[in-house]
Amino acid sequence: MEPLQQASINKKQKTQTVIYAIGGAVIIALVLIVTTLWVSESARVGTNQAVNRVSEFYLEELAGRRALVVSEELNNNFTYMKNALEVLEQSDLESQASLRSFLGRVRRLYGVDKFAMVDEDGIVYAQHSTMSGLSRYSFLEDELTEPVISTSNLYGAKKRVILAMPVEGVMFQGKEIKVCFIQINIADMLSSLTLQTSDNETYCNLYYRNGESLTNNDFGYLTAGKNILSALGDAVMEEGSVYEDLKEDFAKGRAGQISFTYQDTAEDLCYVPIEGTDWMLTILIRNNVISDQISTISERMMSNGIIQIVITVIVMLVVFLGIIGQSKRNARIVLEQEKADRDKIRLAYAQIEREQMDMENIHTAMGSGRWSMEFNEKAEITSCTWTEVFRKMLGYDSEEEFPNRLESWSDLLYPEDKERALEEYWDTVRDYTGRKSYDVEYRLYTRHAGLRWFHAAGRLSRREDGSPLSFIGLFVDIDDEKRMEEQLNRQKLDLQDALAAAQHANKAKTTFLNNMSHDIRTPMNAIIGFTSLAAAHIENTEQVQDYLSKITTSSNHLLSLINDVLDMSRIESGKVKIEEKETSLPEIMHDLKTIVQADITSKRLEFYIDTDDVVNEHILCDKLRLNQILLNLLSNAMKFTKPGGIVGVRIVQKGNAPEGFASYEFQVKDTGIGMSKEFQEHVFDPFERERTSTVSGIQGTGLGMAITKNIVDMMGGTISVDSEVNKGSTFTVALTFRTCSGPVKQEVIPQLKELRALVADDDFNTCSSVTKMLSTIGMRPDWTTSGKEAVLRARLAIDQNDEYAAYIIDWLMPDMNGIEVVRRIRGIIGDEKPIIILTAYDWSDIEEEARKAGVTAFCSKPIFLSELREVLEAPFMTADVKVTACKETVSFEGKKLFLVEDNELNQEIAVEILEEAGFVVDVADDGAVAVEKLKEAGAGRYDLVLMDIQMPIMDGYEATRRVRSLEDQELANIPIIAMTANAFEEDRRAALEAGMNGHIAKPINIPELLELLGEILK
Amino acid sequence: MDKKMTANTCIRRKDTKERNFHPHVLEQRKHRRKTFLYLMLSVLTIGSLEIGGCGKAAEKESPPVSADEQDKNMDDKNAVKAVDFDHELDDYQPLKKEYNFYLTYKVIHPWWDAVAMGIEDAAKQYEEEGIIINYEYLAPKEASAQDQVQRLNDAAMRGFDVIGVDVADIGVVTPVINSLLQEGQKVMTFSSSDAAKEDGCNRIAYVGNTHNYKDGASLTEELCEKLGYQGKVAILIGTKGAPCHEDRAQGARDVIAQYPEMEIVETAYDDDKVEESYRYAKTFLADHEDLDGFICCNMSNPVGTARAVIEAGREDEVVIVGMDHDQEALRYLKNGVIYALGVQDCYSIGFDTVQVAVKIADGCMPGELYPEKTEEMTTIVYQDGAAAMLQTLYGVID
Repeated sequence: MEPLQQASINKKQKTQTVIYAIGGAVIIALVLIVTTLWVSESARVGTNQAVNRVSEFYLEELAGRRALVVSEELNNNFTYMKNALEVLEQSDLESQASLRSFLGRVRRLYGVDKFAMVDEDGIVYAQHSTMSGLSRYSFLEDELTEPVISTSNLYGAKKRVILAMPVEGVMFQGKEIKVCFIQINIADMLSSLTLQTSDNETYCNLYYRNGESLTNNDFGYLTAGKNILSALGDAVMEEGSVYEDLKEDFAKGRAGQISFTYQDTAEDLCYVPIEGTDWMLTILIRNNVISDQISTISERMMSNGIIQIVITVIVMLVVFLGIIGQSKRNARIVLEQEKADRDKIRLAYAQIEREQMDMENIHTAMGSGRWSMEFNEKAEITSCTWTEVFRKMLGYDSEEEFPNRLESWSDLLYPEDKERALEEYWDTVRDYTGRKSYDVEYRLYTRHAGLRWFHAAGRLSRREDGSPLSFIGLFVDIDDEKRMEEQLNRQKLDLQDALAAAQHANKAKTTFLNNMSHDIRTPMNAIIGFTSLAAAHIENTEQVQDYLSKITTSSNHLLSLINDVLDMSRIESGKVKIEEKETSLPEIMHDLKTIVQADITSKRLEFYIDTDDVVNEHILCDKLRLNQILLNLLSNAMKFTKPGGIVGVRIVQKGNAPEGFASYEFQVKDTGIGMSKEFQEHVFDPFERERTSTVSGIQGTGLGMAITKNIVDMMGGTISVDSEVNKGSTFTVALTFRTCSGPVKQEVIPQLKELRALVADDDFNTCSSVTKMLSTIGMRPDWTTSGKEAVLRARLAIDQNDEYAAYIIDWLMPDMNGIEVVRRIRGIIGDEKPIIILTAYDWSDIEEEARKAGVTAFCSKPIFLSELREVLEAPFMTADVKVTACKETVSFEGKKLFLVEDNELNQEIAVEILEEAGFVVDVADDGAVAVEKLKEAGAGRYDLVLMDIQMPIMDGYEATRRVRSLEDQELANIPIIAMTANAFEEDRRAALEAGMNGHIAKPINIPELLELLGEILK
Repeated sequence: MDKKMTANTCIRRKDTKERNFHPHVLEQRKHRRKTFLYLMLSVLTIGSLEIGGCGKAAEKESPPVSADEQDKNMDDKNAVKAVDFDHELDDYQPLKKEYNFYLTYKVIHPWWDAVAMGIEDAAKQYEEEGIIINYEYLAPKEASAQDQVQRLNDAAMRGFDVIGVDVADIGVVTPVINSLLQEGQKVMTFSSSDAAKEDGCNRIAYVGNTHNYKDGASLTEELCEKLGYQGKVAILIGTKGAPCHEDRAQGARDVIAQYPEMEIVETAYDDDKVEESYRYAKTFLADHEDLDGFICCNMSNPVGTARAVIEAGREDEVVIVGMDHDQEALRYLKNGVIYALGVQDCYSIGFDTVQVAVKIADGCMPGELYPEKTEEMTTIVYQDGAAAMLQTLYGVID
């Protein structure tokens, strides 16, 4: 084709394109203009209708709200009147001045035009006036019986609403007040409802139902005072509005709306009745307010629309031309870009190949093995490549040894790590979102180096649908780092443990020192203080004795504190050992009772001690420690129970012990102050006290329970507590001991077989326990918790000719004293049958009286089967031997005692005590001196040596050993007693091992010392 | 010419004489009027400018007004001026912060309630200035000079600053007023009936209607004119002995006497009660079929008379003239049953009574600060001014 022809064709095509473009643009513009006009008109009509509907609704809402406000205003004023009458007092009615003052206060308070009262003569009393009101106020024409709202047309420019209500029972100056009323200026009331805009095109007013205005305000074109119904009779009603409806609505007090043209102005009127009145609230709005606005908007919309279309068409043309030009330029650019991209891709491939080579070299150098895999669309592996470096890291040299498949690797995974490593692998592969990355550590069995830690990480390339395409990753041997890390972690944990232990120890030490500081200072303060006081009042014997008594108490407390601390220390350091010896439970329990008896009596506590199902009375246990446990618990129980309270101990044998063992529960119960739940969790911690001694008034070291717990733990038992504040506590110690003999003899006593026995004890448990024992020995027991009933049963048994063969009666029963019960029963049964008094108390004071009353024997609680058997068998024994242990009293008068003591003060104390007891005392201040003196004195000079242990030149052990090794056997065997502050059991043993005859711990307990001396010198 | 003017001008002020104020007070009022005029002129000028600038809006707001209506509006404005509700206190500064007044009048009646409105508003205006006016405004249910004497004596015992009385009977009450004045009490008269110096009364001042005779005469003149100066009329007076009623009746009699073809055929005292006046009017109408008119001298009897005339169906034949501003009477006036009513400015009576009483209480005697007689005007209102009067006094038009 000729170039000229081609140019012509091109020009023609261009012209056609331009014509099409312009023609298209014109058509689009026309369509836009037509549719915009149509839409604007539709919008105007629609908006008009919508606005009319909304304005109707708005007017109705507006009128309703204002009517409500007026109604509420009126109601409020009635409430004001009621309130005012309620606060009206006689003093307000004493004089005209006081009444005026009251009326003024009310008027000011409620901000009304006038508040007034009217008497029976129609005299109106207001704040500043008294006037005749009969002709002025129409509601006074007849007696007012209910509240009224009046707007009678009062003469004057200002219209007023009057709200009046009847009044009863108010007299003023001999006349009865019949009415009170409030006068409100209507203009003021309506001021809050004003609706009039600055254009004066919206109005609000009040009318009677007959159309008369309540106000002096103009209402649109209706001048003030014009009757609205009359005026609108001349108005031209709009379609849908009927004048007759308006009149009817007004007459019937109905709300409504009408549209009309009045004096050439189109208006809407909305009217609403006001509740409680015959008023109508009216709102008038001129249509031009809305229509003008809408017309303006519509016109503006249309003109804006046309401008918009013109601009749009121009912009479209410019954009079309721009797009065409840009398309041409873009095509050129794209071609150039494609060429440049091809060059770049070639260079990039070359670069990648080089980098891959470099990477392989780096991996080889760094010992990280690369691997890669390919996947099909179903995420199945299509190829797997383990690099040479990878294989070598695992100890394989060729593909034959380690084929290119996944199992080559996965089969070597350490079983513990296998599931995790594979799960991580497949989760990464199957994560089509591509968010997950593969990064995992695991152990593999290598060919030559055994199990080693490796770290593997990889990334996936994916297809567009997210399915995996290729997976490439690295594999690094981290075994050395891992092992190092484990070692570091271990070291770290060890260090943390060590640090925690050190901190704990430090804290414990601080706590211990704090507690000890306080607990030692408290009694020390008393000791030092009372000592000073005693010195100051040395002449006053009575006062000094009192001080000394207090010093003794504090000293004993201090001593017990030290003992507890040391005991605790020894327990914690493991120095205390449980030494099992054959032990009698009855003996322990009776000893326990004996020990606490004095405190029980002095504290006026009620005490019970009993057993339940104890069939193994002899056990192998550390008697000393068991005693300590029970004493600690019992001491606490007594300490924290107020006089009149109950303290009790019960032993229950459990049937769950293995062969050769017996399990017991020792329950120590009190009705004392109890413990909070929070404290119960710490009760066995050292130095824990719920209240400080200063607060509770009860002293203690706070170690007793901790020691007890430790001992129980050492004995393999458990201890628990159940307590409630102000109700009491129950400590339960569960221990299992080996039995050292069989069960207590349980055979039937033939003489008592099938005979009846009566148990009377106010404690049900005792009744139950004793009854079981009686059954065991073959008797038919009955029991009662009432003393009186016991007497009745005794009588009944005789009447039934089935007399009781034995009576076991509690000493203290609430309804009748045990002695009295015995006396009465004796009166019934005579002297033959045994009556045994059972008691937990010391009966020595009442023994004589009891015997006279007819008591055969006493039995101490807790009663064990062996004891009961013994008591009941006694009458049938051939020789009734009653062994009474008589304590031999030893006189120390003239006895010579050699005291070896390095401390002068201790020497002085000891000498004073001993000489007071009758001894003649010689003193040596060191072991070496003592040995020499003894040698010099020879045998017979001294009856006994009291030897301190820790002395500067020669200690007591050595001195004793020297004495024992003397040739003079009589002298060598002289009784030597250690008197030392080394008070532990091992000290005692050490003393005995050194050859001493006894051990007395400092500080000296005088009775104990004298008892020991007495035993040795006996 | 005069008659024509009367027919065209529906309302005419019948200020029988200029108020007898002190020149100083008159000067103040004159100055105030001037200020008001300037103010009105300014407003009108600005208003006209506004209309010129925003003609369209102004047209929207104002309904079209015809020439007749413009005339009517002028009449309405005159009617509105019959009672001056725009009272303000004068410049006098009271000496005390609190005053106690005792005001007693003839009988409990709506007319005095209108006076009470003026008293109330004056007291309120004083209160706004921090001065308390306490007052008792009391009257018997039935008019009684003896009762009034008793009230005055009782009030004298209670130490009021000023005692005011609307004299029920000059002969009975004057000696008591003089006696109280001698005792040192400050006594003034007010509202409708005075007991003046010429009656031998020494009261300090009077505020109220001083032209009852002329009111009666003027109304009768209007009646005579309406009847063409011939016809038979009846006079209903009111309370016997009440100076205001008697004076008006006398004024009526004297006018009638001037026209030979006019005749008074009946005269009666209706005790200022609607029912009584109705009864009398009904009787007179029955007794005199050619009765042409009624002259009513108080506020109640125009109402009673109009009812009787309507009942007799003779409202087109019988001409009624009467006094005061009863709402029902004004409606009859509006409907053409009553021909003319003489409306007194009760509000101003009450308002000015308080102002004068304050000055009396402060020891000021009549002279520079206030006149011995403060006269309040009466305006004769006709049918065309009735609506405006109803609107002004009661806020209703129809």
